[in-house]
Amino acid sequence: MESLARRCNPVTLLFAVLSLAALSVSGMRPAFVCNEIITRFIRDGVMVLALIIPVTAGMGLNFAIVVGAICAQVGLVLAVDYQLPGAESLLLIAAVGVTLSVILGYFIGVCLNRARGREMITTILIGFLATSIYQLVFMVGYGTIITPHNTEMMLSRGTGIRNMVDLQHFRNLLDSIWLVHLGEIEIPLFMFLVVCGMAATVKYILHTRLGKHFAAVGFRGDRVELLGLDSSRIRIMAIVLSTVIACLGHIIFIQNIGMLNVYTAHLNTDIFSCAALLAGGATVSEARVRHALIGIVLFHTLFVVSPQAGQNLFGNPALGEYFRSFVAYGTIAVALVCNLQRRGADGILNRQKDRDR
Amino acid sequence: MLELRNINKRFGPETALESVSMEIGAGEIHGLVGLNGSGKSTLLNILFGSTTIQETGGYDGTYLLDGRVRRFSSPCQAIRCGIGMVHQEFALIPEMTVAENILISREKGYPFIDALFPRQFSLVDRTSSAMAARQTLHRLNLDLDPDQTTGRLSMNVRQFIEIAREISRDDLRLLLLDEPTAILNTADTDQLLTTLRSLADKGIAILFVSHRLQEILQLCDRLTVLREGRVVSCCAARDSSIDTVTRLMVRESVVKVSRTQRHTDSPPILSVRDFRVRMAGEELHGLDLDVHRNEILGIISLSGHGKLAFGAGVIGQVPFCGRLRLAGEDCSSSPCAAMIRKGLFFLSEERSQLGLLLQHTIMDNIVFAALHHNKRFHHPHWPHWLQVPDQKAIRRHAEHCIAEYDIRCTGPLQSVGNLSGGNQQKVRIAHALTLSPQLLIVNEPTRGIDIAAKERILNLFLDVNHSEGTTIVIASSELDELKRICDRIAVLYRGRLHAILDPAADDLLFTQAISGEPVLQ
Ligand SMILES: Nc1ncnc2c1ncn2[C@@H]1O[C@H](COP(=O)(O)OP(=O)(O)OP(=O)(O)O)[C@@H](O)[C@H]1O
Ligand SMILES: [Mg+2]
Repeated sequence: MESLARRCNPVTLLFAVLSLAALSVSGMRPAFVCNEIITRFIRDGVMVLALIIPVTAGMGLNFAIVVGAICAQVGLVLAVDYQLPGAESLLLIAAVGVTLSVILGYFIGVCLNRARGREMITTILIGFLATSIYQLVFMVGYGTIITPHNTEMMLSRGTGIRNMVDLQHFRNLLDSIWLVHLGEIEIPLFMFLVVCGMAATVKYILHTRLGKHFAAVGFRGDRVELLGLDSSRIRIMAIVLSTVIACLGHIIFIQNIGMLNVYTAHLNTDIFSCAALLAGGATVSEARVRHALIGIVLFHTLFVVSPQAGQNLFGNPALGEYFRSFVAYGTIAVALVCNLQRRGADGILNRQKDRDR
Repeated sequence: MLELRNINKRFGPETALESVSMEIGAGEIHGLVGLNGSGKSTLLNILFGSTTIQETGGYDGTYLLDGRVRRFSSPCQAIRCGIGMVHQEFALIPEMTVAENILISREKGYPFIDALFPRQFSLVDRTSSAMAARQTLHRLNLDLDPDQTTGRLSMNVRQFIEIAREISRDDLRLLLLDEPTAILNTADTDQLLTTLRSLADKGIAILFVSHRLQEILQLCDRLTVLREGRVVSCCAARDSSIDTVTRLMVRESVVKVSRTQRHTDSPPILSVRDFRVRMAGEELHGLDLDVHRNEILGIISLSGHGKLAFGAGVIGQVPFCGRLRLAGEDCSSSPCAAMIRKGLFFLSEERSQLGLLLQHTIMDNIVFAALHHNKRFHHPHWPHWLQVPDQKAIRRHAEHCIAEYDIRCTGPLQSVGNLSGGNQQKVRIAHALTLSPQLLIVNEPTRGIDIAAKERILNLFLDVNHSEGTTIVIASSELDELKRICDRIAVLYRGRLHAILDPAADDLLFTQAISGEPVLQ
């Protein structure tokens, strides 16, 4: 009993209670909520998984997964520009996105090695910087320096891409494979397996030699050099892997939505992913695949039902909208505070106990 | 195999090493001795390519390995050349298991997956890793579950794990050992020395640092004596004696202190009944012990039989069951801070994690507990509740301590992390005695302290015991020290009290008691 109480993270517990309460207040049909959660699980799952490796390597939450998302969007815009058919465009997007995210991930890693101990704030700022460069390129660069092939996606003035780009070749390309119906519930089995496969891959990486080295760097970054591990290289690897996974996650996200909001689609991915991970019981220094999976379900349950619950309780759906961002930022803040308290010798012992179990 | 020519190392204005030259051949065991702060660890760090050496400005001189000039910029390169090092403050990762620590960067994989994926991306085989770790530990005569977390093991087990990590390497050619025996008792030390001998017979060169001259003379082929960063002698161990080496190190001879007047029975200040502490590798299974007021009590046992757990349990650092009475008052469930306020203080054997604020100055470290628990060193002109520290008094006290304990440093404002291992230990003892507790429990007080400073510190213990009436409990593996300063010596066996012996008793009697044979009193 006692161990159960200790195992339950207070944040997770709070989320579970809030979700259930909001679900009952909203009066939404469970089948509908279920469908929504499955959609979102597939849409956002991989993105959350991208956060796990940097946390293990002791770098905290990697808010720079935005950069991975940007890489995916660059690939998408190119695919639309060259007007490729579905499957080929997918290959192009993946190739461009992964290559770009390996390169950018490397540079982020180098930056973070210079900002040891302040990784989280650095990744936030890197995210902002990357967003503005990206917006600049596509708002001004396209049509002036870069010649577009597909004029349909350009703004009428000739430079800059339209705000919304329709991805008709691409929409639900993957979601429609192996669609299974269970009564009212609709499961895109293929994509579900892809997300689970990604989770398994992350888990596998954590159990490889590299994964053990990530953990060693995460626990004692100052000592591993003495053990013959190159901590800078290992940290760069962590960030590169994280960025690549984030890029793949964003491709899945966009193909599920079917529209590309060129300038804003990537904007909140980092905050929502971090909040979901923390809701699942992860901390800034420890995250597991299980936390990510639980977290996505809990966080998105609350996300789906809260506007309706707001409508029913206060007669105002905007309140629910407001509640969403409150929940996202609130989780991060609470989890950070809880974390700081558990640091120190006490924290080490707790972590040991967790591992022993 | 290894040759050093005119190595110079400076830390800012301070010279740590000055034209040090030495040679070590394959299969040779070379001893390195010197007082605290004479530059032994610094020399080893240079050989191992530690990054601290780079960060503090590198070194001058030539470093030849197998006739080729080397200049390592990181330990990775040194490790690739077959150099291994056992660190004074350990390089273990407490959160990871014993097997993971021993095999770090050489983890065992599954052959099939290894063939399929690049090395870094192939799965770690936990069972075969555990098996390999167990085998290495067997070579050190240690039977230990390799799947447990390292952080909760006692220091001497950790010391063996640190050694096991290096000797498990197949490509090892030069082994650097920085005070590996500082916390080991005689039996464990003998075990280690035989293991080292067999390594040397295989052609591995060993550089061995220790403050115990006896084992140096017993083990080493040749030895080098350092004094203030300079080599003052390099000779065959066969031709030297403890006396000559001591004189080379210290310049003067060392007078051994010993207790003259002993305390007779007084009421107990601390008594424990059925005291159980679950400290992995060092458990107590129901200890009944009284500590009398004003006495100096020694605790001795083989490693793993519980001597280190007593202090940790009493102060509440590790949870315990059983009854504990301090000065007649039941304190079975008081937290650490409350125990300190009741006049109890505990110095654990581990200094880097639990005992020191490494980034802070010597001054802050010395007065820390006294300032926070005893309300000493408060500024006289400010209201008491503001707790404004009186910097002048603190500084004066720190300077006094530095002189008294002979702490080798640049001044009270140097940060503790930059001190040599033995000097850090002196700061901790100064810290404990500044608090002037009624009851002080110390584990391995002379760990890593040189022969001259050891006498100084033992003398200080006798002094405070005499002048302030502080009761002192010393858990140590050095029987000789305990016999010289204690009133009574408790021998533990398998986590229980086995006998309480008079310090004047015969060595043979102690050996019997420690190994669990019945003794008649
Ligand atoms: N990082 C550092 N910055 C400044 N000074 C240092 C640093 N490391 C060591 N020193 C100084 O160099 C000198 C030699 O230290 P070293 O650690 O080599 O001594 P040691 O012989 O190993 O002593 P011990 O027996 O106490 O371990 C000391 O005076 C110490 O203060
Ligand atoms: Mg040293």
